[in-house]
Amino acid sequence: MARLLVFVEIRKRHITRPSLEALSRCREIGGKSVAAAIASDAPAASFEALARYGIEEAFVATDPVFAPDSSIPQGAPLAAALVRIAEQAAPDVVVLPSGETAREILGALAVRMAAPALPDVSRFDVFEGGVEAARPVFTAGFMARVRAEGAPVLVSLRGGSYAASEHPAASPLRIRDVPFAFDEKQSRTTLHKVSAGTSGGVDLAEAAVVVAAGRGVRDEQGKRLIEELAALLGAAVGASRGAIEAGLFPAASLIGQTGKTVSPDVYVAVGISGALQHVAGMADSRTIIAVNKDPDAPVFRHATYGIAGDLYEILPAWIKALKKKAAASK
Amino acid sequence: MKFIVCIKQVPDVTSLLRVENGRIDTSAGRMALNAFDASAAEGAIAFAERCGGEVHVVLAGPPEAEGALRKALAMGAAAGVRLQVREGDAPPVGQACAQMLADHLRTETFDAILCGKQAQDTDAGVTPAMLAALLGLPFVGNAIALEPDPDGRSDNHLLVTRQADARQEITRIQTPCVVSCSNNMCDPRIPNIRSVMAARKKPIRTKIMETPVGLPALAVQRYEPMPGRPPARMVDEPWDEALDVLAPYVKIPSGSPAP
Ligand SMILES: Cc1cc2nc3c(=O)[nH]c(=O)nc-3n(C[C@H](O)[C@H](O)[C@H](O)COP(=O)(O)OP(=O)(O)OC[C@H]3O[C@@H](n4cnc5c(N)ncnc54)[C@H](O)[C@@H]3O)c2cc1C
Ligand SMILES: Nc1ncnc2c1ncn2[C@@H]1O[C@H](COP(=O)(O)O)[C@@H](O)[C@H]1O
Repeated sequence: MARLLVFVEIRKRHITRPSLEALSRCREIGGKSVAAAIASDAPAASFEALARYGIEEAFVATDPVFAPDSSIPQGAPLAAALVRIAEQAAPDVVVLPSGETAREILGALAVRMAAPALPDVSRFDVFEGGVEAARPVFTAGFMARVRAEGAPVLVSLRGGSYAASEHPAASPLRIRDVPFAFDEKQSRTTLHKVSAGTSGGVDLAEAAVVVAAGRGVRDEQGKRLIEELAALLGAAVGASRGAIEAGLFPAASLIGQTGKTVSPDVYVAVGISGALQHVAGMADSRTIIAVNKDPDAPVFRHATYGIAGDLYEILPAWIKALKKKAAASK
Repeated sequence: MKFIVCIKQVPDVTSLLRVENGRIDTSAGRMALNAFDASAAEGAIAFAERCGGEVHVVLAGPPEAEGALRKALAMGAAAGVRLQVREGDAPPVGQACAQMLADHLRTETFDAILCGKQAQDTDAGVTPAMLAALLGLPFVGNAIALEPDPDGRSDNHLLVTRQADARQEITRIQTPCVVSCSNNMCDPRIPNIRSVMAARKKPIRTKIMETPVGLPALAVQRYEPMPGRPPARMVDEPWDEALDVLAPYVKIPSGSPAP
């Protein structure tokens, strides 16, 4: 049975949803031969959640460099810790949740472990001696079926590709402490300043509903409508390049090839034309509702439900109607 | 600062491309300079114009890919190098391509190597970190701004703003270094006729290199069209079908009056 090692990403002391999805998929493939890899200043906080997801073994590198307020950019220490962990865990497959962290370290891991790397896969299976996977290419215009052989093979898994599911029979977790100490002089980089810069309180990668604004949202009034609808739905606010260029939404809310990949239960695209670079970041959403005044907008080719009309008329009506529907069902 | 920008020529992803027998037919489309590499080149050129310095470009690819080099030269790069494998060898991809670029870069002097954050054809984004690891240099990925060190005391640091998943990080990075660039860093300039003409006289050197061997095995078996979605259902007022999808998520603030 192939041994799988999953890098568990911790943000604000929580395991990210894409990490839980990766753990769940690996458990589906590998049963008990799945281990978690954790790099943290305070790893114990995550142990309970790992057990709930049916993980029985965790390799842990503990170092203050991983503290949330660390002044060292995380790429170099994370890569170094994962190399150490992999030496000890000797996995056949290493899975990372896709995202900017994986982007920054996957290439370094590939070089240092002399391992093939399959970035941003949306499906993968393990066979004796390797991995077969499907990954979007050409700005997510096509799917490539790829095959990599080696031990280990490195995979980064796009969020939303598999469901995160807890394990009914939680079992005790064995902790393997991996000796690790990061030499800060090695880093040659320091964090000069950090700024938050997402809109609203809900994390895009974790949200069940995303309300995304495009250039059709052209002023503060439109922005307020988007935010009001998002607040009503407990949704995260996303944006297209058009809306960000207009200066109404922060760059961190960008969805698409340059921005984030999201796959919520429901994606509401408001005043977004549906350029392929935008669609690349949201096409895996379960249900897509698109509002656009142009009935021929390309976004309707990707939508589940299309509404041709003016967002400035439609959103206020929706907000009212949704409040009414919710009240009626109480 | 001396920058070397790694650029790739890719099929224009917005042109008509089709899959046939598991291969992507790019013959109908134009070739283009990878958009993220164009932003990296612009970032370097603008930096050099502002703070002094020079920009060189390097590309691994066939003779037809020289168009991308000429484009970067027309934007303002001073010189280009094209890395070419020996006749009959397949073009190197993935780690082999990174290895070839690294082998070349080891023979050059530079303060910073800039890459695009990903190639528009591979959607991979692994080459920059591979280069940094192969060259033993510090690395920042997904940069959206590039500035000189504010102290002004040392010119062996850069300030790089990186868009991370949940925050922006301004990193002070020691040179020589590798940085991968987002197209949110800047919009590439469109060269005028005069620059295009001037670029014809700028030097492009071709360097024949051995294909790196012994690297991890990885192969695309076939390409497929994206699994399509069923056609959209267009809904009119009162939009019930769409609103019924959203209704279960509605959060009625506590303390709001009962209906
Ligand atoms: C390398 C590269 C990477 C890129 N990466 C990204 C990325 O990550 N994310 C991204 O989003 N884009 C990205 N882009 C840009 C992308 O190509 C598009 O330009 C962008 O997505 C357009 O944004 P938009 O749909 O908001 O604006 P537009 O294309 O201008 O569309 C606005 C839409 O709003 C509609 N509209 C206008 N008024 C109203 C109204 N009152 N009510 C309803 N509808 C209305 C219009 O009909 C139109 O369809 C990238 C481009 C490149 C070259
Ligand atoms: N053949 C190549 N020649 C020069 N640079 C390249 C080449 N392939 C990739 N790169 C650089 O690496 C970046 C990421 O490519 P990729 O890892 O394929 O997504 C690109 O944006 C380029 O900057």
